[in-house]
Amino acid sequence: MMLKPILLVEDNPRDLELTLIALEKSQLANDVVITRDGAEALDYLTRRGPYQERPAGNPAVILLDLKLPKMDGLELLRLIRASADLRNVPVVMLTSSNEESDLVRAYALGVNAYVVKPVDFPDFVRAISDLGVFWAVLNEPPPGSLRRARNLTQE
Amino acid sequence: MPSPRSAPITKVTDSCASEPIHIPGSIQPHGFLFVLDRANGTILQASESVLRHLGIPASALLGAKLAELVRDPDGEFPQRLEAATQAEHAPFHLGSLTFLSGSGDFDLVVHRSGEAILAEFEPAAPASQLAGLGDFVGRAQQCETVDDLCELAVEEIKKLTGYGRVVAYEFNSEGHGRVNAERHDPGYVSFRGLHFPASDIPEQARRLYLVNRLRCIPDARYEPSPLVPRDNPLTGAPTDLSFAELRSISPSHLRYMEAMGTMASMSISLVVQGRLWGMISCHHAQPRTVPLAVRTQTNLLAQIVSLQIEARRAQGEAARRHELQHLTGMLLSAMAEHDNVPAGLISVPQALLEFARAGGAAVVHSGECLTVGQTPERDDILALCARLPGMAKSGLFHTRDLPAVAPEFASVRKQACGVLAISISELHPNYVLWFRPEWIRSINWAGRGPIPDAEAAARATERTFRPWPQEIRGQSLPWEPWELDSAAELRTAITGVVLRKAEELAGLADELGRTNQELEAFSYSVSHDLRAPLRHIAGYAELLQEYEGAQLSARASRYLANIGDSARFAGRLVDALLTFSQMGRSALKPTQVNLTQTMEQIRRELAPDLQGREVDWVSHELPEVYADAGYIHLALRNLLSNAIKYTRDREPAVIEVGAHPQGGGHVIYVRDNGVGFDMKYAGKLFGVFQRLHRMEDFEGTGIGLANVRRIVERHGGRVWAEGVPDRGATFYLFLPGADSGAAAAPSASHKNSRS
Repeated sequence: MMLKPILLVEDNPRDLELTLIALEKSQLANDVVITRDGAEALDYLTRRGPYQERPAGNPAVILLDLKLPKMDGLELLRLIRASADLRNVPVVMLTSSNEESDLVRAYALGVNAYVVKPVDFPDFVRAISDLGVFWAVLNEPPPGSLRRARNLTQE
Repeated sequence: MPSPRSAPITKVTDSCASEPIHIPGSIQPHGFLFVLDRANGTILQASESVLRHLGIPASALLGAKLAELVRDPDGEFPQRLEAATQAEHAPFHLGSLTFLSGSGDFDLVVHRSGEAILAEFEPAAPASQLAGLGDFVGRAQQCETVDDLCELAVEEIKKLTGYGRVVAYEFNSEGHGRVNAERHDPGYVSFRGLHFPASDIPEQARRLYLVNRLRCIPDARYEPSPLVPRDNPLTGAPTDLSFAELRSISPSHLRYMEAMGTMASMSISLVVQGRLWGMISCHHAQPRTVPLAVRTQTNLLAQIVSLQIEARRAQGEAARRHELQHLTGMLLSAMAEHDNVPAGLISVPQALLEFARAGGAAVVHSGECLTVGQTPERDDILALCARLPGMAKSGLFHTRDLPAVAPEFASVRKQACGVLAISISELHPNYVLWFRPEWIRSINWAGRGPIPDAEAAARATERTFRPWPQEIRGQSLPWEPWELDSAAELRTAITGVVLRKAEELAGLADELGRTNQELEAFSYSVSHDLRAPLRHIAGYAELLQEYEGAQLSARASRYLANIGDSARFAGRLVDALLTFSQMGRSALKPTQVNLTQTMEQIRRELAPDLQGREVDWVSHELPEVYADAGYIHLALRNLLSNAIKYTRDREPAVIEVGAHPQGGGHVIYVRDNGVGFDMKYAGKLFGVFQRLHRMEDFEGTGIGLANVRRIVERHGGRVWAEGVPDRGATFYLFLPGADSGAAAAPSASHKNSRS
């Protein structure tokens, strides 16, 4: 069985490593696709540039850092929600702080969840794990996602 | 006793004042007058006195051409007459001439009035009677004071004219004349220093004195010589004799002369800056004729005196204006130095007083009243300021007699009979006021004081000129025009200063706004950029322990644990700081908050901290307040959390929560029997990162009470605390009532969206 991947968009190498460890510890079976900025993530999602050869299908969930080079998380979120193909993909915003205006804007743009990365590592692992389980496993995948398509072909 | 101030000259309506003295229809008989038709030079009217001088009855001359009656060898008389009467109301001495009939020379003065030419003839004086003015101008210039100048003038005029008494007097602002110079022969009563009330010279006489500056009456007992016919046949109206030297005298003036014991008189106007400044009056006990040439000289001399007075006044005024400018400069620089209008003005008390030659001054600003010198009581000044908006014109008010315009201030007459006030704010009742005391002086009226009404004047026919003393009260020294000008200028300058200050404040507010934005950007980046590395330190320390813990020494493990603890604590500090800064920036959303419910909720939230603890709760009824529910929750939670924390070694801990109303709001308190604090550190309790206990004793970020204070102050309230070491502490917070408006006030800061 092939699970939809989790798309992780994170520019900071240490956050990247710690997030990957947290995902690993949460024992999710999903693959994790790593992109390092908003533009690359958009290339992946729209299968352009280096990702034009990838198989079709949207990720189970996008873990999106707020501050990113080239195109920041809010901008990418806006494009995802504006795209007919992508608008139903769950997006979890990961950020360093709960600065109010970012939060308000992220929800206005239709983010599914918003996580302030805790300083305490076990807390962080717990948060990532909960999110992964909720969005990648428990959440009913939206139409057009890989799982639905696969289920249909299996039937 | 009549009050001098109640007799403004314009209100005089006695018989003199209403008498049409410019059209008496007759002249004095020491000369004769023809009214000529300007078109053809024929005689329209003639005075009966022509019979006495030329031996021809007036009626016989009507219709004759004047040019045909006089000797005119050159035949140029008609041209000269026409040239001399081009301008209206400008008497011109056409020289002396002789008539074909009759004998003797006559001085002829002509002037035009409408389409009529008035030709006045007087017997000419022998040339030997003329004396030169000598070096009068030079000596006049050397006089130190105006009074000295007038002394010189009356002396000179007495010599020129031979009158028995010559006096000069100066009119004050109410029109009363003070005799400031006099020369008299033995046998004449001295008038020196006497005041002649304004009512002595009716208003229409003053107007005539202004235009026709010399008036001569050779014999008060003269028989008026009527014009024949009485009215000008071309106009059907009496001929206007305003500019006629021979014009007949008002009967009331003749009575006046009689009372003075004067048979002959001459008066010359002193006109300064277009105003009747004063008069020179000449009196003689017997009839006395002064030839035209002498009168012309006297007139010239009086004009020199007028010009000299004008020059001196202009000089004095210029000097005073210069001084006022200097004082204005001092006041303005003092205000600039103090960065504050009231403090600046009061810092230079001498300049402030001297500016208005005042005995006292006050600056009323934002309900405060600062005074220097002799002033009324503060409450009187504030009451006066409350009246000013209705009395001031263009932001300026002045009076010499405050009780006359505002009788309720009669009691402050001693310090503030005269008031000059300027408004120094367009929006607020802020004023600078100067006070002058009542000016009490004794004067000697000439025979009587001013007559307040017509009936009294009519009755007062018996007139003497003996000194009649009176104490003059009820007015301050007058506010001079230049003083009022300078006050208006000062007002403009101060309101300019105030405006500039407002602009500076606005600029400051802009800058503050920018600084706030920078601060916001700063805390944003602190929260993001500082938090990330702390997270990394904590994360890697955790992972190191997890994956490599088995190989680490106990000491290394402990160090690693400390690294993790420190990073996590630093993370909490950053979070707390960010919350603190957000609290100062975000807008309050006040609603009715039931504090009893809030407190119960907080206790539920804090229940985990109470595990294994014995706590006696003493809960009193708490009020409803109008506040931001979330922030008030945070503040009370902080206090309760502290109470739990600092009582943890108490068995049992006692925590009391209560409230009582105060000043329209509520005081809420949280009391515990914990470790307490020393009151000498009470001031530090509510500061950011201020801790009164060691970290290992009581953990915490040191920002909780700063948050409480910020929340309560944002609601317009205040916080304070009482404590005794080891005996417990009580924290109070006061929240004002909803009607105070503080809680509902919009946040001063504003948030900018960030991209």
